[in-house]
Parts: sequence; structure tokens; C-alpha cells
Amino acid sequence: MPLTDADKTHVRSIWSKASGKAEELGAQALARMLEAFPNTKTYFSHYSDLSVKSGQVHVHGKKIIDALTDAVNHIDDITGALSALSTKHAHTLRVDPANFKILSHTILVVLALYFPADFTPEVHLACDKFLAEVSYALAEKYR
Amino acid sequence: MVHWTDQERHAITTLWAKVNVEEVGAQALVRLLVVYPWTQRYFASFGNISNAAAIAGNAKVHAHGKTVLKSVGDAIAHMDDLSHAFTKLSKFHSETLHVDPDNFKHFGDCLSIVLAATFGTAYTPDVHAAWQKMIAVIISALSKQYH
Repeated sequence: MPLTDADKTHVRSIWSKASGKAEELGAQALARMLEAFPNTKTYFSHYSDLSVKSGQVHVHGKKIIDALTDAVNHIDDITGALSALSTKHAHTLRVDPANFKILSHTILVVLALYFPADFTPEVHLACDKFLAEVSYALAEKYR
Repeated sequence: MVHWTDQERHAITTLWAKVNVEEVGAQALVRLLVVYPWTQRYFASFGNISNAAAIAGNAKVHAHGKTVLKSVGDAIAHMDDLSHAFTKLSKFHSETLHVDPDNFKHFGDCLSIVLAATFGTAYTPDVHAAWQKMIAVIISALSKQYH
């Protein structure tokens, strides 16, 4: 299900707003994932606070959004852009790739929450496809 | 039987009281049909659902969205015994409608997203988590009679 030109336009357009709020959006998406889907907490046992107020969650949330911004800026070669991150997730972090769908969902929820007028059904579709491609690229090096 | 904390019950029922069933239902169903277009297979009798604009303007989609959200309301009213309360509805989805239960999750995702867009910051992480749990319980009850 490759990204059409329309999809890419939609993703770039909403991301131009999202990238400016990287820390807040990232913290929200991450905190919501940890709270609503408790199995995901197993990867963060070294965090003292998993709430949206946590400094650790803010730092890590920003990293996630910044990495996605990089993917958006290289939307024609997401695999290439995320190659190093894929290696890291595969060999160091070893996050079960089933979890990528969960964080993708909370990212979409946060985009809808912060940008309700911009997050139309077509933009929602484009972002869902984009995050699926990101998830696939992240899992590339696993085996 | 599902264990609900007082906080979860409060989060779910308080938000539900503010939901415009027709509006939220329509928006969620529109998103299901646009974002997961293979779900259109279940709605061949709805007329023109060939593109996003047609889907958004389709009266049958709107009406059905309201029907589905009303059932969500029923689920909330029976949240302590939902598997039992939804026996008939589950059988109906399995034996009459032949809906792949994977689609329940897609609808649930769309509903959570529409609630976020509608309620904004009032859809706090706590409220969001309670609703994801409610959605998971509904999906489980709806899936129960499949065989």
C-alpha cells in the first residue's frame, strides 16, 4: 500500500504543524501508549515516572517525533532514512514489532486531538499509511 | 467479568454524557470506510461510497454511524456484564453479517480518534486509557459468539 502523491502532500502538511510541537506531542503519544496499553510499559522499566509530566517521557517523546520528522523529510526513502534506527531497534532495543502499531495509534490520536480541523479522514488515511511504512522500515533489520 | 475502577467508570460515563451520538457515530464510520477501504465490502447497499467526499455525504453512512454509536451506549449501560448483554449482537455479526472481527478493532481506533478530535484536552491520558479499555471490552464481547 505505497504512499500516493496525495498521501505525501497530506503528511507533509500536517507534519509542518506537528514538528513545531515535537516534545509536547511526543510526550502525549508516549504517555498515552504506556497508560492505555500497559504491556508496553515492559520496555520502560528503567523510567521512574511514566506519566505525561515525566521528564524522561518528554525527552524520549521528542526523540520519537524528531525521528518521524526525518522520515517525513525523506518520505521517498523511509527505509534509508530509518536504517540506523532499524538496526538499533532490532539488535539493541529488541522491541517486539507488534508494538509499533500501538504507538502509531496513539500518535494518530494526538494528531487528532491537537489538530482536529486539519486531521480530516483523508489526512488520517495518509498518516496511517505513513506510520505503517515507518513501522515496516523499523522492522526491516529484525531477521 | 471486567473489573472497573471508579475512575474508569467516571471517565467513561462522564464523557459519554457529552457525546453527540449522531455526530460522533457518523464521523467514526466515515473514517472507517475512508481509512480502511476494504470495510466498504459490508456496505454495498449504501449507494455511492466510492470516494471520501461521497462517504462523508452519504445519508445511510450517517444513519448507520448513529446506530453503531447507540450500541456503544448500550455497552456502557451494561459494562459490568457485557459478554452476556451482547450475546445476540455478537451472533448477529458472526452468523448474519459475517463481519471479520479484525474490523471491530479498526472501528474502535476510529472512535478513539474522533473522541480526541471532538473533546481535545478533555480527552486526557486517563480518560483516553479508560475509553481504550471500554473499546477493548466491547470488541471482546462482540467477538465472543464467533465459531
